[in-house]
Amino acid sequence: MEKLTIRTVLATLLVLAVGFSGQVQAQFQSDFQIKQNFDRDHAEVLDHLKTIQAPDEVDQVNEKLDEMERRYRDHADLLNRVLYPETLQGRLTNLQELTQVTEERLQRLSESGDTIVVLEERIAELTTDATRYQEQADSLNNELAAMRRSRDANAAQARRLRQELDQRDAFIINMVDSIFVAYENVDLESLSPSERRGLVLEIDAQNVLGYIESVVDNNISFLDTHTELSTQDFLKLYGTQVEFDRMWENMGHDLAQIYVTETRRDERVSAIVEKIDEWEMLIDDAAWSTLSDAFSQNNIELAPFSNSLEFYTSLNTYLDEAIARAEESGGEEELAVYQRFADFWFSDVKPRWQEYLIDADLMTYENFNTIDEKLTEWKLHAQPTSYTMLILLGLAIVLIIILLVLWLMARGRDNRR
Amino acid sequence: MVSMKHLRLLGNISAAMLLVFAVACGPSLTLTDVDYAQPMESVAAPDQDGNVQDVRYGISFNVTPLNEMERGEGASLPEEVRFIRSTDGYYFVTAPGYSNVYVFEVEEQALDLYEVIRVSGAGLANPAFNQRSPHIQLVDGDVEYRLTKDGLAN
Repeated sequence: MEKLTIRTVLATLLVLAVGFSGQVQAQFQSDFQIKQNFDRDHAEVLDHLKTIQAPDEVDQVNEKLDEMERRYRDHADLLNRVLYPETLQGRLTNLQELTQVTEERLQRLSESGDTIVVLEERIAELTTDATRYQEQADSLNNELAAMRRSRDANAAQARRLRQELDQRDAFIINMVDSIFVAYENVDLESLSPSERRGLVLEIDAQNVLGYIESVVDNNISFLDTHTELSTQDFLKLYGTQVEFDRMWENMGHDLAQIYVTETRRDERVSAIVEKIDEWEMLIDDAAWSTLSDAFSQNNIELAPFSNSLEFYTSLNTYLDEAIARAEESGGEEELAVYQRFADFWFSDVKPRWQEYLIDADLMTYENFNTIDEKLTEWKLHAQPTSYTMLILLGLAIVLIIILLVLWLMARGRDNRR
Repeated sequence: MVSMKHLRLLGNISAAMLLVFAVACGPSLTLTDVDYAQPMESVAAPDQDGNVQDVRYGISFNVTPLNEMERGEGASLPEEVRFIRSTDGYYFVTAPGYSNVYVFEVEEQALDLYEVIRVSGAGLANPAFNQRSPHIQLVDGDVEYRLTKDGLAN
């Protein structure tokens, strides 16, 4: 009985001691400190969500949120008052929703992870090449500037420069195309702003549109400097411009969305569009006037033209008129006219220019076939009546006369008998 | 005999008295059961002039006179001052190192000292106020004080 009493007393004391110490700790907490702790935990979760990289980290955040719910449940009244107009539950729900969104984003990201890795590698590779080409372009620009000062620079030198510029232009177009195609495979919306910035920084945000602009600048500069190039050269440049324009139409605005800040976007895009228009105008003037000159130099007087439709119409009109003329009065002279056109067409236009005219969408294969057919028709009508036929006809008549004479002589002989 | 003239005079005097009475009373309206309780204490660091403020609760005041009362003239200002307003509208102010809690009554653009409550001879180490209506709870480590505007509660 005595033992039991002592044990009971000790147990009671222990329970009281534990209860008391627990009570003391719970009782003397500063409300201010509770709020500070809540703010710190809230900020910690937000920071974690901002920098979270892997889906398994989301579990840690969820655990932290559960812990916060347990820790602050008893202080809901206090926190509701000091967080007003927000509430403790509102804040926790908000964090839970953010966590869920982050988890979904990470899931999407991991699905497109392979694509991003490939993209990053490609961008790194292109950046190295771009730097090399940029150095080369600087040196080319210096040469162009020197040539502008000295107008007697020869065409061969210009052509060499042109080839190097072509190489660089093709690289830039391919680079931009390649980057854009890669971007198209990535759901950019699924990336966080910092991830997007990371990708963009890889290739120097300023330089993507800078590279594009430099292609336009170099071409304008080149066209301003060189008017002595051949028709073939100009048609080739026309093709480059058309390809570039197509590229810009397809992806220019999207690239600007990625690489240019919203405040500067319209201004930057307008500046590039303006330059592309200037480039188009220059190459348009140069190409059509040299093409017209080339026909004139071969004594082929086409109706004036300044665009692809007018050029094709002019060719057709010329041939239709020639065919009609030949039908009426074909002969040596018409044949010579035909021959001059055919020589020019089959020796210069088709082997040297057809490829570029088609590449630049100035003419189609069907257009060339139509012209070829008309040339055949013209040739048929232009050819004078064949001498062989006349000779054969003459011989036939002579033969008939001889036979007739022989027959008459034979008949006369028979009558005399 | 009371003449008409006297009656008119009496009437005028009565009307004038009623008017004076009405003007003296003015518009009268009292809102009761006001709860001034600040849900959580304010913790503010005094600037070099001794001003503290809590923009959330829209209050600022200078603690230099209070600090002089607690520590003597020319004493350095505490790193932080903690204050809270009770349900009945009194401000309770203290700071680490202080031995007292100062209770202030709100006046027009002024806080008038209402009471000084001595809580710790050695000075408070890490004081914090909690709103525990109708009391203000002051905790310092493991020690708790329950305060009213008039002193320590029973």
